[in-house]
Amino acid sequence: FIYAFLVAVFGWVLFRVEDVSAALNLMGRMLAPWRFTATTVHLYDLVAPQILWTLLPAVLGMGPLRLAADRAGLTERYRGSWAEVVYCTVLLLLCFAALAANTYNPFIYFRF
Amino acid sequence: MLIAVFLALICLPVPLWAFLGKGSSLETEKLENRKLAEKPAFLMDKIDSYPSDWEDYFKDHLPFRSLLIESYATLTRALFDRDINGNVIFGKDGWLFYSTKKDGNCVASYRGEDLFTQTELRQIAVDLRKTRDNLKKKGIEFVLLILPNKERMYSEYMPDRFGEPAEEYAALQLVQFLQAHTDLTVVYPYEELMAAKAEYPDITLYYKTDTHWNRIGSYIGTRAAAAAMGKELPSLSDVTVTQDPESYEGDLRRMAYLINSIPMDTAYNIEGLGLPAFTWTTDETGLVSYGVRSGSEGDVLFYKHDSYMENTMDYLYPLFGRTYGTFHQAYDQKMVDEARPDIFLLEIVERYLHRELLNGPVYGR
Repeated sequence: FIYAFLVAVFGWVLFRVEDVSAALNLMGRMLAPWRFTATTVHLYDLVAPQILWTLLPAVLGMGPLRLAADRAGLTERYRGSWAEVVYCTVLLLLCFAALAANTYNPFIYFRF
Repeated sequence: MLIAVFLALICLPVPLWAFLGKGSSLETEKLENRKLAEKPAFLMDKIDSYPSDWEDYFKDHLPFRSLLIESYATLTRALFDRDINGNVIFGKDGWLFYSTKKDGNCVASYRGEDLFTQTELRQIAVDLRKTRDNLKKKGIEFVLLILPNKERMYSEYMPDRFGEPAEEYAALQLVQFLQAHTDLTVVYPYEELMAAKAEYPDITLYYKTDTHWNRIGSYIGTRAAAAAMGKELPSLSDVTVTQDPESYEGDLRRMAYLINSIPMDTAYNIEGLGLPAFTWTTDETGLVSYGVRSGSEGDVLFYKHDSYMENTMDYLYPLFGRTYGTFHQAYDQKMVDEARPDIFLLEIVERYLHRELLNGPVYGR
């Protein structure tokens, strides 16, 4: 997993950046961020609160929550239940809403 | 059961929308200030772009789009205190601010991160002097009016994460440079606005939910500009200010798609000015205007401006016999030659300084 993660993350840099020197520079920042602290970019400009809030379910969704639910018998109890239907419906509607929100492209002044 | 619900949610919205959704997409068009994508015709010579054109059309006409966007905007604000597309900052006490980087950069200006280089300052000074000199050859006076961003004027309502406004910022840097190194007429009514804000704490000078100043702020700014042009407007203490609560639709409120949860803004008006009547018209784009004071005698003004002009018109146009106004994007220096004004007023709000002043002389290129 760690190997795949590193290959994907550093491979993505090569895919995204236009020249080798910029890629090496970016990789250097990724590996030693403490050496590059002078910046006008503020953390909350790059990392929205939504991302931080997503980290918690992301970590839980990697296995610990499922293991705990299995041991407590919750998985079997709620499989196929109305609670599961409601839960999944709410998630699907949130996805619809997020997708719709991505199409919203307002302007201050009218664009013909 | 889960499968049945999933299929229903996937399949039913389109036929439901066909019955329930007529007219709703128009509301979204009004909110977004753009024309929504039209249904593309299937033509062989446009087959390459047909899939993307169809996708654009479908995205703009999603079933229940308005409801979905508003729900998501409301939820995002409630949970994260953020808007859905990075254009709006939710400040304190219901104040909204503009955070886009695609229409100037108010946050960078606020933080002093978009300072001009010395080379840029010198070049701007050279270009503005050339503009002034070229206009002067035709007997036209040149006045530069720079207006402060709302974020600076009401920084106390900016969220704490943005800190205090920078003491050195592009607009001040530019004004000080021009005043120190040129003899240009530069008006920067920041002090006048701050003084009025302190003297009239119950009145706002900028809209809470809009990017612009209101009629009070614009009156103070226009009065400062008018004085530089040899015209006089009464002091705010000599006129009557009225207010109409919850009567103004702010553009930031619309951009955040929270028109049903954020109340409308207070609109102010000024009475007792005693200014002469005037009429004005615009071209079909709405970007070029022409104002005539009754009698049409008097100086002619050419006014190159951005949207901050909207609330200045009632105070500025009556001071001149005729006024030719144009938004920056519609400007052509031939307009000046045709108008033959006495005064050329160039108005630029702080966030557009880089965009408008780094392109060479405004007149006489």
